[in-house]
Amino acid sequence: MSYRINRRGFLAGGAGAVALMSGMRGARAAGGQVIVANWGGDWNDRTIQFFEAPIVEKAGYTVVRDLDGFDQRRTKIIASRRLPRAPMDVAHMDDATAFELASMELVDPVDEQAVPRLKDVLQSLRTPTFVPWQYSAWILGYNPKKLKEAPRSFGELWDPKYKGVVGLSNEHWFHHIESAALKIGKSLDNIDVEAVKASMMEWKKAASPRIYPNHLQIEQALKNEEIVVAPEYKARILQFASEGVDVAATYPSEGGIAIIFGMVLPKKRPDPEAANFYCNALLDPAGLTSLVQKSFYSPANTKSVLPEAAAKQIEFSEAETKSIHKRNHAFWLKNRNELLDWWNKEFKA
Amino acid sequence: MTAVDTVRSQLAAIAVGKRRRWLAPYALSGPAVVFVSLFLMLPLLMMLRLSFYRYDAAQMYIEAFTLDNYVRFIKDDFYRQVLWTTLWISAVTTLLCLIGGVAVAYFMARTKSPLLKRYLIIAIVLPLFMGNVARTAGWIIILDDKGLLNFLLQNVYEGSALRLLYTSGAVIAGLTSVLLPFMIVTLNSVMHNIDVSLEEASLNLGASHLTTFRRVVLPLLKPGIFAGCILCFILSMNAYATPILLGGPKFNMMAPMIYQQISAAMNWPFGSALAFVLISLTALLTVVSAVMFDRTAKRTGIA
Repeated sequence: MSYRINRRGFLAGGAGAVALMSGMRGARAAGGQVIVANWGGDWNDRTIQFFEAPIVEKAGYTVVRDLDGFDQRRTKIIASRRLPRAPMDVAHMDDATAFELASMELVDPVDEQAVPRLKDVLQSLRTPTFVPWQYSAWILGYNPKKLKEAPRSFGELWDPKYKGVVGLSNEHWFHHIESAALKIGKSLDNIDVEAVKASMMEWKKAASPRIYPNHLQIEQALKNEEIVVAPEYKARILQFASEGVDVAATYPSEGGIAIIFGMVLPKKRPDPEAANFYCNALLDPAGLTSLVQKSFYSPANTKSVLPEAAAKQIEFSEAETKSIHKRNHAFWLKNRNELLDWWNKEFKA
Repeated sequence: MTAVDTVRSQLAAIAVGKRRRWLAPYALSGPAVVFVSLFLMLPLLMMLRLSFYRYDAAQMYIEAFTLDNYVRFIKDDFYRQVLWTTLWISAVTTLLCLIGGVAVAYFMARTKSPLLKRYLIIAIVLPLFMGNVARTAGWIIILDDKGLLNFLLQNVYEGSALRLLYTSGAVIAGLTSVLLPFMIVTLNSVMHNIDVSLEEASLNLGASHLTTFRRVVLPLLKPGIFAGCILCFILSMNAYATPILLGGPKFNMMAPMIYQQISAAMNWPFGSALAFVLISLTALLTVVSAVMFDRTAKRTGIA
């Protein structure tokens, strides 16, 4: 049987195809689309594995992923402030950047009614414009084979007995300054800039800590035994150990310094409802339980319960949790520029 | 229509075509000009404007017209030193690329074996398929305190370990390896066009190989040397990944410093000012060397 396409047939077929496509668009729009700005690599893979695929996409949403570093996300949000629409619905952020964006009034407060799981999140981690997801603290990592006794505090690292064996991450320069502030003043609420600078210079003179670009090089230096102590996030120390590095975590007597990862909702986001659904989905207790056993961060949702062994390894004790210092974001916003200049010119010189 | 009419109309069309031919270059380059103006010049102008704004910790910047950011750069020894480091690292890297590039390009052009020639081209172009970061990571493995070089030094020569990584030498080695293919590819195309009979004539007239290379090959290679040097110099002035990974946290070059000001310090006006200092200086040096090259070329008649 021969088949010829005539003009009428073509028009009818074309109209049918257009109708079908518009129908499909309608069907997809029922779930909607959520644009998520996130880190790439393992971080994104686990977000997909434990939350986006089984919860968000299953509910009919299409997740559009914009993967990049956090500073690129921050820049995008700042740069698009005059545009009619934000370039994303949800942005994964750390607490410091979330504070900065909130202070510039670029993110909206989170509605607890629309994100009901927010009420189960640790109160100490919450701010009005931030959805905390997982957290850890800046503590101390050390090589138990090389050191008989674990260092007990950040302040102990000033001791000349640690000369040349302490490694500092350049990317986390602000945490080293905060450690000095905790050594002097026991708090991050009233940092005395000049006293901290003087103490840091004493540290440099007494113990000459070695400076590495970031986590990766710290891990390498611990592995090579170039260094035996490194202030780091507890989650990172556990990650290094899981990759075969001889390193153990020890909680400093001054208290750790909090790092909180979570989400912010940029103003003028295309689909606020989808963003709320996404945030609520990411606080799913079961998903968080699975996630943190891979990431080694602690879950922000109190309803997320870890198996006993994992809890012992990852989570902070009650006393430790109480003594974790929240970072003084307002201080950093004001002094960051000057202190980074000082870090580059004086401490690193 | 008669045949005469047809011919007449065709001739008229050709005449119109000739009249409009002058338009063709503009019409053809139009889209590229619009594209570059829109996506390069406009953002650059916006950044130039930003470099005159005033930094504010809370607002990031305040719209103003101030030279403070440039004054800060000029007055501050630290940032001047960063620019100086960038300049001398780029100059040394370019020189090393030139020395290595001329030797390899000459060998490639003069080798008789087509198989070897093909192999060399693949060996030179293949690294360009990989990202800078991957190639630089290889250097970390070689130069690390417990890396390959130190392993050989300690075990074969029984010497003590040297600090190789996080030094200016490491950055120069890394940049040279990253940029050498650009120099070779540029020189190779020029070298191929130099007639081998010119060298033979020189040798025939009694000149040594060195004199032939110096007096015949090198002058003819000058346009390639100039293009390759400019390319390598610009790329090393703007290098980011290599200085970060091999120079370490205490080694400062301009591009990483600009990134730090924009992303970590969130001081966009000062970051923009640093970017403009870098762009202007690179452009100035390129123009000055182009003018100098042009003069030499005219004098020696190789242009």
